[in-house]
Amino acid sequence: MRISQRLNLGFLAIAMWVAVVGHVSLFQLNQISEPLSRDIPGSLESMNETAYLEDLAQAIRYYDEVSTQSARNYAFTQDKEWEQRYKDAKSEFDSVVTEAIDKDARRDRGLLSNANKAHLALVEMENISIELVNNGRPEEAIKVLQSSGYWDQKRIHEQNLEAYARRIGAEHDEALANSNRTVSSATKRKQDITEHSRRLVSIFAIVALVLALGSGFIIARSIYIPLQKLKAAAAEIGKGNLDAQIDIKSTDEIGRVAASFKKMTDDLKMTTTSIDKLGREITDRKEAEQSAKLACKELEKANRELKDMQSERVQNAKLVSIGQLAAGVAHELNTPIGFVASNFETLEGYVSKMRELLQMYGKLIGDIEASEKSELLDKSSVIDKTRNLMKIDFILEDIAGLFNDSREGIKRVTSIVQTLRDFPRVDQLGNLDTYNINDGINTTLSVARNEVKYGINVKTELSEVPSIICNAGQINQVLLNLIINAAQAVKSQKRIQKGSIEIRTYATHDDLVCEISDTGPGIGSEDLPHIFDPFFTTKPVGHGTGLGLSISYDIVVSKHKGNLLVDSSAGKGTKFTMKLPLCRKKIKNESEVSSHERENSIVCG
Amino acid sequence: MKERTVLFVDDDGIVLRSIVRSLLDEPYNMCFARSGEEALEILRQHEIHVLVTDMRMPEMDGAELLKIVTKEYPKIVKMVLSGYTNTTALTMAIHQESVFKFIPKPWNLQEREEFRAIVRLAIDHYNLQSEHVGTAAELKPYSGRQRSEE
Repeated sequence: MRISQRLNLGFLAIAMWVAVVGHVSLFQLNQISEPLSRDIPGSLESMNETAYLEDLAQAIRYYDEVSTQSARNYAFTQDKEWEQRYKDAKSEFDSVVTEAIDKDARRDRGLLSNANKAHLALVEMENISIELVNNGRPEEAIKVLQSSGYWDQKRIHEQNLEAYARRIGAEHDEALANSNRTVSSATKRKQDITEHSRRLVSIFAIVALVLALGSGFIIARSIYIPLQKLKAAAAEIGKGNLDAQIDIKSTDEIGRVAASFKKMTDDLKMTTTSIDKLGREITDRKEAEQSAKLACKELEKANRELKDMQSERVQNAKLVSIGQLAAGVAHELNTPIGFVASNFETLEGYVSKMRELLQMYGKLIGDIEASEKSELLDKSSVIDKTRNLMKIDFILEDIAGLFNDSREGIKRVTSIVQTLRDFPRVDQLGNLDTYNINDGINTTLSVARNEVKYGINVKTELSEVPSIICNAGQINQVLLNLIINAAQAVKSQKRIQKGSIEIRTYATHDDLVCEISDTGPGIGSEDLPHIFDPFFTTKPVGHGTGLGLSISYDIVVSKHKGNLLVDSSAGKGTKFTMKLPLCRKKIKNESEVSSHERENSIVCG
Repeated sequence: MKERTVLFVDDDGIVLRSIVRSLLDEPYNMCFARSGEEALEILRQHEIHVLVTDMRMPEMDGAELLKIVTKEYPKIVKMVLSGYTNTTALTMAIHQESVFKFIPKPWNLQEREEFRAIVRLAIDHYNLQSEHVGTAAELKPYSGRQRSEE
């Protein structure tokens, strides 16, 4: 049986017991109160009635006396006041008597009617006496009142009234005695019943107590013992002993709890192993997370470094172009400076030789006066010998060539320096200039001469084109990149006949166009989409930054709103086409783009 | 001492002319070539003892010329006169073709005698080499071994 059922049953039994006890008590109470409510009111009523009748009899006697006295006094004194008083007393007497007769209707009316008869006789005589007084015959009135008839009547009246009063008194006493009896018997009975009830209730209470204690003990025991077992098992499990057995066979809640508990421990046993596994997994995962975080940090760091490196590489790319430029310029300068310096030294030698010779001639001229002719001829032949030894004839012949060569050297140096002045300096990259692309190409070619000069035919076809407003330094950098790329492409081919680079410029309606094509190996279709990507290079490590074309693209497309197109396929050579808007604000009209431009089939970027 | 001949190779005529002037009083003969091919032609027709060549030249460059000369005229003392200094090709040429000296352009900015001294040194080097070969030839009958001349 379930605990709740057991408890309910126990409580129900106790409640029923209490209800039975309550009902018995109520019954007892009824037993007490019924006779009391039945007997006591009756006795009380009869007592009240008799008391009231006694009072009435008293009042009758009093008013009778007053009226008798008032009539007598009026006869003796003839005072009208007494007449009045008599009338009042008589009316009071009448109402009291009427009431008494009415009240006494249930009883014997003999005494009262007798008394009343006598009273009426008396009243008749008294009225006569009052009449006599009023007629001025008081003596007669007194006689009437003192007559024996009057007194007889008076006596009858008195006797009857007295008897009546006695009878009423006796009745009253009897009623009182009755009442007392009733109350005392009721009281006794009540005491009996109370005593009985008390005994009964005591027995009931004891039985209820025993019942409650017994059922409570049984229920508590049936709850406590398995709970104790459960507690012990829980403590065992708490200690980690998952094999603790619970020996509870009841089917109540605790039995079910125990069953669930057992299932729980079984599950626990199962889950403990999986939890252990999970714990290990979590630890592993946490470690993995930790290392992932570390890796993330490292990645961030690497990213930062990469960014730094990128800017460094961009900077390097600039430096590389400057380096290329510097190397080319250095070579171009070294040669003319070399021979000019050499010539200068040579000239110094020439001059000193000539000075020596002049001195010899001067001496000869000084000697002309003093010397003999033969002596002079000897001296002259010595001078001639010296002169031949000094190769003066060659020198005289050569000296013009020396000056010409040196002049040429200085011219070359001057032109290189000029070129350098025109060429981009990093700090000038933001400035806008009026720029003629043909001048830019010539300048760039002379800077790139070191790369382009040998083994490559450079053909230029430069049309008359308008100047544009642009950043000359940046555009020159683009040209240098494209020309050097072309030259390197051409030279990368080991072949017998010379490769060539062709540079064309022309203007369309909207654009200034510069085409740079080479007869190099071309760009494979797999590389073509990437050539403008930063750091993309097909050159061996250390030979290219992979930034030249990406920087060029940025300069032409982003900074100058132009376009940089490439047309190339493997084995066919490469053509780059740079377009710069003639008027930077003018909107392009596509229909006017010449068919010539449509050759450039591939647009990259 | 026997007459020695130095061949100068440079594609720039002005450079050659300035060399002629500066070495006017030197005790050896001079030949000049404007290209590698021309130099090889001269080598075929004249006995050359010292070769001074530029590196960057159209068609055949200095490295190629040096290679051929090393192969065909091993006794010639080879030197490079070039403004082109920073290249692996140059270093390779110097090492592989056993170039005697490298003279950077501009060549005589520091000392007037530098360039001449180097050319003379090259001739001395050649003389030493041939003396050594000559001694070896004189010793030939005693060693009983065959030794080919050039």
